[in-house]
Amino acid sequence: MNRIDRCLSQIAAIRDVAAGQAPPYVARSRIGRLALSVAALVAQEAGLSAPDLPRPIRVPTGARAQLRDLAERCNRLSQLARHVAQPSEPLDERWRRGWLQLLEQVDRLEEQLQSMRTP
Amino acid sequence: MSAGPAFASWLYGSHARGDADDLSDIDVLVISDSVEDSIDIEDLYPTGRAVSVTRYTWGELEGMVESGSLFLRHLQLEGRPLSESPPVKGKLSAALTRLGRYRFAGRDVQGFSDVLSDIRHSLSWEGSLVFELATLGTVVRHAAILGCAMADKPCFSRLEPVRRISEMWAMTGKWDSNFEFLYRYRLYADGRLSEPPHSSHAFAFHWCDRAGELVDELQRRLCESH
Repeated sequence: MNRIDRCLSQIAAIRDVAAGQAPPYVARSRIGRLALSVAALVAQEAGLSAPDLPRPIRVPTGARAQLRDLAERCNRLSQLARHVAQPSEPLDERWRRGWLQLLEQVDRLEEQLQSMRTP
Repeated sequence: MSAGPAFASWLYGSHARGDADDLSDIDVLVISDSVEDSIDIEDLYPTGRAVSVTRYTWGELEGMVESGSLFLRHLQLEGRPLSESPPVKGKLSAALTRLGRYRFAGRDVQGFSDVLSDIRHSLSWEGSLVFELATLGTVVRHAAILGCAMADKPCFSRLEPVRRISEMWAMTGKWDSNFEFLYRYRLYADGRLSEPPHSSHAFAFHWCDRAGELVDELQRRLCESH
């Protein structure tokens, strides 16, 4: 499985949480895993070393716009996930509201990844 | 600090318990009408150190009281007010007296089980060992916290819940010292350690098995209690 396909399959796993096929607790680690995979993809494309943890992605100046957009989208998703899934416990109401926003970001990230896949 | 929001801020965690060490962060809860309310934590608790702030609204607090939230149980056990504005003085303490039995234990156990399955899958597909070990450390600690609460011996410190549950439920193996090592990955992921310890996939799979035993035991006891 290449890096883009891996990111896409991780997006599908995040949607399983939204569809109620997995409990909310698993969302945080799945989003972290996706952020890490996107960071690894960006690192590979930009000639950097892959990170071991999902930290904010910093794309070097001069990297192509597609990579900058991808990193920006992923950073936004991670930030949103921190608010939606507090470390202590997920909150049903915040979850419902936050998920809609979060899934919008996931949709856009998926579109970007798909566009990188198409020759 | 802005005068507007009706808020309560409480200290909890190691600094409230009095067992903080160099790796401890400062845990502060802020409850207000909106999580967007601007409240300056530095004014409330000027330590010069990084503070980890958890924010909830008063509406969310009510939902948490109804569900018997373990986080609120944590506050009830060891939290203490830092500052409360006059209109809501005593409101959080009063809410904590209405805390019922925790309602989401079954959902949590399913969550632990799913995360363990994700970790195994990721390790088999060249996922980041450091990230997976940090996640594993969190799951084991959360599962132990739930176990302690189910056994009516609630405990929320960094390592004690795992020590306590392994002793209470006579789990096999050396959980204490090994868990302390495993949890260092969580501390690294949180930025509280500058370097991760060195480890291997064998260590990670070993802990997946242990965590699986713990989750199975939680599941069994949950079924019994129903």
